[in-house]
Amino acid sequence: MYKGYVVDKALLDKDPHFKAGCVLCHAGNDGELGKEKAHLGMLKKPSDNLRSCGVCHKKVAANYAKSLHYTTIGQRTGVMSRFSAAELKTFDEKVFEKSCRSCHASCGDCHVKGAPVGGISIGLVAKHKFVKKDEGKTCAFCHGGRVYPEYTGDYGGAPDVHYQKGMLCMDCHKKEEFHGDGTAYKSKNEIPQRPACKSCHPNGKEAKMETQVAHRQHEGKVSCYGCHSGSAYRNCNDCHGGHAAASPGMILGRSPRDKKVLTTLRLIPTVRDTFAPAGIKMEHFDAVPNYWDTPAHNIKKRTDRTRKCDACHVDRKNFLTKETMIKNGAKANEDLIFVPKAIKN
Amino acid sequence: MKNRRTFLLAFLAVLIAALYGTAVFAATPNKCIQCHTNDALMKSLHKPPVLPKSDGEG
Repeated sequence: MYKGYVVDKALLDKDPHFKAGCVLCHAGNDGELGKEKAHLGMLKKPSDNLRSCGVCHKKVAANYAKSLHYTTIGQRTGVMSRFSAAELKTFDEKVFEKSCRSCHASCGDCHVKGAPVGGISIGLVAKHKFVKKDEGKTCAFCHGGRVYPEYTGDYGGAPDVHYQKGMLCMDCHKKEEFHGDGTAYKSKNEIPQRPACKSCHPNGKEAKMETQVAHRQHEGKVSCYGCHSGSAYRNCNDCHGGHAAASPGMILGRSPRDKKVLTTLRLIPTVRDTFAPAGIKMEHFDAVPNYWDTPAHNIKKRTDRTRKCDACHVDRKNFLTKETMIKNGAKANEDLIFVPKAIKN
Repeated sequence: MKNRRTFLLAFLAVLIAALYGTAVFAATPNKCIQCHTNDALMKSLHKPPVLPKSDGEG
């Protein structure tokens, strides 16, 4: 898309980023008109080297160097418990650095030009304007496989109630979560700034007494998503096909991270032979489930589970069972089965 | 008195040099923007990329 290379002339006088000319960030030769000579030594993505932005935004760049969007270490953390020590070494050399790390976002990917996904980029977010945020063009592009269309309802399910109220990604996910705080967290679950439903919806503030009672009764036992996920959501291997059979759905079961809690589960794309091409058998494949607890981005205030107790306690609709589990999955999947108790009259 | 005059002259010289320098710097033609602000030219030069095979992203 040629628009990805067209700069808005009006920005040049307004924005201090342009004051020292293009070459300050992009290098190359701004005294040449010929394409080849002008582009000699040019950096397509100056912010791949965080020091480019760090000249002025020193603290942000230093923190960002340790953030999950830059390190992508969360992908390694998610899968590493399946490997032996030798397999982890192979994974780091053959898979992580060459594949997972290619997904990292640099400053410019969010603030100037969308990152290419599968070779396609949205181009400049706003004609080379340095934007603070534009979630529909940046977050949505990398997280457009499931999260963003789930949020907007573009999968055909119900849009998230927060989207319907006009909220976008950064209304919940604050910039500190992306830029980092200087700590090299290993997973998004460790980040203290990650959003929590209760920050805006604390217990005890509910309008109806019956809602207050329901929240109190399920506190610590069921996640917010467990009741408020509005409809079926996309499971990873719907796209990474060929490994196992599944269709979009809602899966309720124990959280792998806290087995006391019932929550929404999402089928992840790692199956037994995922890393076979790299020579990794995954010695401990069975120790880690194929389902992760998932913050489904399709929240509704009222669902069939909030309307009546029977949806879970009698009908047990959408609960993970041995029959509905993926075939040839990890043995640890069975630990996630949750059977709701019948209600005593 | 003499010192004060010398300081004033030196200050004015530095000020004029700084202002002139800025003007010269600003007037330096940046040829990048001649092309990259020209929509029609960019359209004519652009070659669509050949897309690699790839899995979807999350």
